[in-house]
Amino acid sequence: MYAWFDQIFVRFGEAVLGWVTAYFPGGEPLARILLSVGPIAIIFPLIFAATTWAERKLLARIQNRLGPNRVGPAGILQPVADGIKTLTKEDIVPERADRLIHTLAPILVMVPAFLVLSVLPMGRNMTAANLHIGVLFFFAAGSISQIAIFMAGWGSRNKYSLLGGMRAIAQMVSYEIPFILSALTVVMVAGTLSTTEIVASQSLALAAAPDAGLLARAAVHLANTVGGWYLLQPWGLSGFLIYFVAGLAELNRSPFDIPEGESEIIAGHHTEYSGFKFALFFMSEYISMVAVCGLGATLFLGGWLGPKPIPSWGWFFLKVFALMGVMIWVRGTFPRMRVDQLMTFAWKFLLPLALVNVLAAGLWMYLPSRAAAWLLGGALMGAAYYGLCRLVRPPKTGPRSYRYA
Amino acid sequence: MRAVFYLIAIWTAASGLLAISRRNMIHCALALISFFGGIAALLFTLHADFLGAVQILIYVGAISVLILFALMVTQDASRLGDRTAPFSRGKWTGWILGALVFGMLGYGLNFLESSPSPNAASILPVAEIGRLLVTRQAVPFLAMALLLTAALVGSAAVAIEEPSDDAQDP
Repeated sequence: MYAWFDQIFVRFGEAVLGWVTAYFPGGEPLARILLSVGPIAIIFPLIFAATTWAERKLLARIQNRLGPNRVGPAGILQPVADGIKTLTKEDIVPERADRLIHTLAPILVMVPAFLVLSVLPMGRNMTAANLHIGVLFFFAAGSISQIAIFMAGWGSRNKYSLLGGMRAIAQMVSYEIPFILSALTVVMVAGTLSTTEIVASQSLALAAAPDAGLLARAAVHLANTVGGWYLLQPWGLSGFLIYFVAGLAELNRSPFDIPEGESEIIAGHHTEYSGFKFALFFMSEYISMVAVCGLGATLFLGGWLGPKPIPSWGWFFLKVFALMGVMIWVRGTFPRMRVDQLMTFAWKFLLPLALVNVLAAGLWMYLPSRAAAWLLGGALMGAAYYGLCRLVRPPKTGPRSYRYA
Repeated sequence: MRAVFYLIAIWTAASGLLAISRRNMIHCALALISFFGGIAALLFTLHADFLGAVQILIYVGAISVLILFALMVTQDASRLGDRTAPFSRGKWTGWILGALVFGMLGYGLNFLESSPSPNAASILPVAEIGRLLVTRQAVPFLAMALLLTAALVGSAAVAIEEPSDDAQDP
């Protein structure tokens, strides 16, 4: 029963494929492509809509407000209202804008957002494109979005757009390095770039004694599906934290939302966008958020691995939604950073820390005893964190003296 | 498969032509990025997935940003749209350099055992590429790393402003 439920989408896909080959011989390759692309193109925009609602509700809760509550019960239909609104709004292009680039940018920004989803294993046997270079493909495709943001910033011919675009690129290029380095540790230890194999490498194969009771068997099952997560290793814990922080910056999300700082540059690169073009930017940001959380869950939280009653795809989406919830929580909690703090944090703190983390992962691989690896790796990361904090700390200023006129 | 190849080849060649013929510098740079993307697509059709992904990561994602930033910080950004004539100064240097690059590539092709074919078996797996980089090819790899570091330090040295005398005053 569990296996059937676990594989329900895979079975459905196979059934459709069998039906197509029976009735439309020769249509199989096309059906295969549609079956991989279709679910991604339908489910993730729906998740985007749900996320906008959830984010507004959660932020409202944090700020002691009600949030959307007019459209449907608890405002659940707010995304639909927003969608209709953006679709019917006038599409304005500034007179002196570069029309072609201005129009191409929101289309191009969607391409990487959806491309990266294809390599995420969303359940057992549920990877749209099971590439052997999956992780590399994720980062490569993700880097295209910088160009789209630049095009939006430059094509609008607006100083705020241009500044926002430049800020976005500078930030994404800077944070890409610790972002990739933190994922590198997992690739090192798992010994593969394939996302599917990385998930498989996080499952343990302990066997329960044949005469073990129900409780003991359940404990072994729990250890098999949870105990191997890379989060539970010293380099994995610090790697996950680095990944998450750098990921927030890659997504231009709070507290790294300097590229669209409303108080300084209006809305950055989407200042001059209206109607559905703006909605496309908005959508790509949220879908990238799902993708970054998805890769984080895949690399460090065991992907779709989890104890039994919940199916594998359920576990994957549970982890993704939990990570997204933390991102929204962070947005409601931390103030925006300054530009100089942003660059200092990336180059003087996060990058060296990520490099030390690579060393800690190497220690884990080559030290003979796990206890020594834990002790050494943990001490290494702790010392690096403490030292870097001391190093980056701004100079102490004396108490301010006031002179009254 | 052939049709795909020709489509990508036409796309790449057209982007390349646009990159050298447009009068708008930013359009040139964007066409160049599209050209890099076309090369990556060609690598994917040849089953060189790793090289294709690296091409996108390095060229589309990083080098292009470098080019765009260089354009933005060295020129008056508001006038970037209406400058530069193609084939103006430095025309002959360009022709000579182009001829040299083509000559080198043609000379290099002589050493290939056979013409490249979309044959998956002839492509090294990623793990093997990594192993070669730290064993047999370690010296060229390190030399390149040293070269890039030197270039980085050099560019930083060029970019740092000389502190003027009156800057010393409190």
